Amino acid sequence: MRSESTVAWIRLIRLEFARVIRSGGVAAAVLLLLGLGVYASWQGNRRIQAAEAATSAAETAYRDQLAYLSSIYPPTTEAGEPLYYLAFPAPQPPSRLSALASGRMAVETASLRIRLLALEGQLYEHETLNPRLAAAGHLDLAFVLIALLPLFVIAVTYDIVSGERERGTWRMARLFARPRRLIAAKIAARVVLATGLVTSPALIGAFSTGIDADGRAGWAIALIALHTLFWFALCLGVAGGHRSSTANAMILVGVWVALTFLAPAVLSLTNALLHPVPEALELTVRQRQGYHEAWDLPRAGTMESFFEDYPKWSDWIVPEDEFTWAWYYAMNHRGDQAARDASHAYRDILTRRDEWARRWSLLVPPLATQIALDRLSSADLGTQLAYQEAVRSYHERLKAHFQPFLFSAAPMAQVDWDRVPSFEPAVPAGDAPQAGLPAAAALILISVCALLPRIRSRPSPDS
Amino acid sequence: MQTAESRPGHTPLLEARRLSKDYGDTRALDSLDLTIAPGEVYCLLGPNGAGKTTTINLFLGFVAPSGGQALVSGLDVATHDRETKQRLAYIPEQVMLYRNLSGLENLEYFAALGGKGSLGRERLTEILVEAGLERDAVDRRVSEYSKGMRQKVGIAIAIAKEADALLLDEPTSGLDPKASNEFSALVERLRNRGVAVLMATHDLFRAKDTGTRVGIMRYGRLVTELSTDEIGHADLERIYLQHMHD
Repeated sequence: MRSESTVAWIRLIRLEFARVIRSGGVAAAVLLLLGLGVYASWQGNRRIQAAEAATSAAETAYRDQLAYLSSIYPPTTEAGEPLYYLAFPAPQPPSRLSALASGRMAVETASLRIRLLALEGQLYEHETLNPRLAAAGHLDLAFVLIALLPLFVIAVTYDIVSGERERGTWRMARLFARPRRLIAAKIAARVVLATGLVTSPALIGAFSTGIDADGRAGWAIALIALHTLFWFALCLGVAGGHRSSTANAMILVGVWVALTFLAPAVLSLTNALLHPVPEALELTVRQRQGYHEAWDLPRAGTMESFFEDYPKWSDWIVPEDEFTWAWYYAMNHRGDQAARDASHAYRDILTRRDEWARRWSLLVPPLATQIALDRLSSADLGTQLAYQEAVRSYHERLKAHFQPFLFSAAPMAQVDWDRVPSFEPAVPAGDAPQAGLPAAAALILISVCALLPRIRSRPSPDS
Repeated sequence: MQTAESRPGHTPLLEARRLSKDYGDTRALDSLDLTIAPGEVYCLLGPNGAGKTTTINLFLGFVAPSGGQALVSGLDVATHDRETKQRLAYIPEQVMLYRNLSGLENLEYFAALGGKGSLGRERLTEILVEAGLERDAVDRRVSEYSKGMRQKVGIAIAIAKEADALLLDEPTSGLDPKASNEFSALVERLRNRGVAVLMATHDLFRAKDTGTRVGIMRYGRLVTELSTDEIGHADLERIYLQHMHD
């Protein structure tokens, strides 16, 4: 049996909830946010389905292309020729959690099809494909919950005390309970409302996409909950004082703009200035120059470079006056060698950028949450770099498989097509706690700081 | 004249001891001594700025005294904020309620805020009806209520709270005569239950009719105190005007 106090609390929260939801505009805002959340979840599900379809389509395309090449080339054709055209699928299965936080999925492909030619250019070719998406990004649930939900929290909380004063109900209420009981009930009702706004679309997205209830999903839920609570703490810290409702609204909206848009932009700009990254196109140009120069060089020289990386073929005699596929692929390798240092530098600087962004984002709760969610859903820069490493590794395994056929000028009929290596997807960088814990700790710490003015203040009778 | 202090066995529910309040250089209340026993209705009369509302605010703990003490059931308001507020109900000139809740929901809200979870909707409806609200009005939103209806909800809130003392600040201002009369009847009922009432008003007729004692204030001082049993309406008006012209 529930105590009278518990019943009173439940009744108070229910009535406060009714009061909030009946306020002009709140019901419309709730419907709008729910609609956006459900739409974002549906879009996320579509993205996952599209990525999975692309994975399976890449495999089918490879088999179809191999069958086609086998049909148009006589079996005696040297393997090097069909291998020039054949594209091998390297699909990274999407994390289903990325249905909720799509991160870099909008701008980075995770389903490359690579050829046996020079690799570096192939890694970045997609970067010039969709500038419109790069500019706009996806409407994902993370955006709705991190960027838009706080605005709703502000809208229902900015006048939590000042509104009572301005309506004249504050004095009446103070005769019944300490201000903290009234404020606690008000916050609790709004937290219930926000919880509904968070969980409804998230559950729809989770069930429709089939997100596993694992540690990563748990951390993602915890981070979204902590981020939402941070905004409640901030609102309480500001609106619990003696300012007018108008002043509270202006301060909170200003903070929202600063934290959601300005601070991330400033951090991004600072990061870019501190860690200038050359265009990926530059790598492609270097690789192509390295490759094209080799047309005019003595073939022995090209092969010397090749043998530095593959000494097992160093006994091979290079015919200077005839075309060989072994030399042709070695020439492609020379392109990768030409871009190698720049490629390492590119990856190093991106890694430093990623680490810098993760560290400094901890000061900006929305950004810290976004970056952690991207990491948890394997849609972050670290995962993209890990994917590129997996593709490089796959490219090497393909070369190791085909080089014996190329150096022996074997006909394509002799190639062991059934034992062509398969792509091994990248393992996401860092485990779930590594991805979520720093942001969670920062959110808790900043929330406590936001609440400090209220924790330390004592109401004066004249207030 | 019989005061609460002079009646044996009656501990004053509301008591002011040399109670003063300054706002900057302005003395709003000057050494007020006052006692109100259970079952008494004490009406404070006086012009605007006489210190009536300040007195009520000091008892409510909404402002801090500059000197002296405001006591509720013997407890100093300044040092026993929670305990004294628990014993008080308050009805201002404009009872401000939550406009998007019904009268019943407002009553339920304040009762729950006070920790009373045991009062069911039926009982709360009865209290509203007892306070004079029409039964078919209890579920209507307060935004549709007249001022008189909101005053009745205010009284219902006081009844539900089972407060020992009721502080009324110009409660009948702006009410039509019928609504004022109904309001006075409600105050009378509370008085009969032993509730101590302190009412600030400009309405001499209502003060004589409802009050047991009347105090006339001017420039923050209580200039005279009268028992309503001992004077008529005309006497009260005459004495009041005398003090206003002194």
